[in-house]
Amino acid sequence: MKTIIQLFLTFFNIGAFTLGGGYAMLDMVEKAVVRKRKWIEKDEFWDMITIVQMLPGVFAVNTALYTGYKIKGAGGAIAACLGAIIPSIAIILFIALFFLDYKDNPVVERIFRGIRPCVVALILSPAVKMFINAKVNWKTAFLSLATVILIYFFHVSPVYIIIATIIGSVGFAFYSQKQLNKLEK
Amino acid sequence: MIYLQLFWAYLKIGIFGFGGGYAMLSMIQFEIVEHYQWMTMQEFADMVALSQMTPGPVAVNIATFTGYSVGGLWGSLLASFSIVLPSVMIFLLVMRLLFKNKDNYIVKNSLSMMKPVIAGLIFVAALQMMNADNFTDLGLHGSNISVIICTLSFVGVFFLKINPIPLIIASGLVGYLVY
Repeated sequence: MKTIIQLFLTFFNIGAFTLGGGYAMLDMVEKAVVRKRKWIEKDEFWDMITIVQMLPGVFAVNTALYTGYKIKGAGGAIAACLGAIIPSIAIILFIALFFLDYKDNPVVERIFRGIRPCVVALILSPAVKMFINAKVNWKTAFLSLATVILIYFFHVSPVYIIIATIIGSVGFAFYSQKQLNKLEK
Repeated sequence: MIYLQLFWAYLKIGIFGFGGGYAMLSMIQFEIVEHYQWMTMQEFADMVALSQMTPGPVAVNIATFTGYSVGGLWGSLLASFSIVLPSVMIFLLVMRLLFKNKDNYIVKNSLSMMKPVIAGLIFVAALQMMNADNFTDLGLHGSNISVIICTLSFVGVFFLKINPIPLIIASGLVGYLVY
């Protein structure tokens, strides 16, 4: 029980004080669970993170779930997960309460007129980063372009595009493994 | 009815939200602004800015924020619950399976096409936000302060690797002084 409470508090602390979400959080999680508490080995932690990165959903939540589970089973997973999200929800609710009242205030409006174009840049940046990171060639660039056209011009839901991508990727993985097996023979 | 729609929208995003916070952000934008039209691109941009500046995972922050403005306190709790629920379900289902097969070729390559698609997805979100809502002085008096802020912010975050929070604060200050 003590470990479960400690897990909750550890992730609560990280959730309440880490700005910038998922990847900024990783260092703090490693510091807490590997170096400070010595709950799991360093290699074991990073192996797990490699897998967690492939999963859908909020990265911080997944990290909390799997770390919690490794350390203290299902109870640990739930405690860590709750710890990671409760500060977020509480802080945002607090802000939302005020913001919706003040958003038409002329000073607030001026500040946000400046902030909005900055937000656009903040979203554009990871798009370009991801594009470079994907080591795009003409085939994969086609995938990016098709995604843009389908959503922007044809208003296709991103959900359908993701489903199609999973089917395509798994199909391709099976196909290339078959080819590999043939080559080995 | 609105609660059911909120639940369904965020459940889908939780299930298919591959590619990290910004990919989920684009999906949230599609559902909340484009599909259900619960808010304008401008209100969404404001919430993104505030979610960036507060601690915690951005996707949970946005879910809570949009949920609140759509359906009050219960809306916000429902939205954040729905975006997390699939993670818990997937965790219960695949936990053992995944760790056993982590070196399997198919598991490793089953998301090979995902990155270029996610890049496109996030790009659209940025593209759709470049409208008159967010670029308020576009074409007025030939002075495009919005475009300048956007360009400088991009240089700051992409090339100079400046943290988003000081950039948001600086842009807010420029807005306060200029407008």
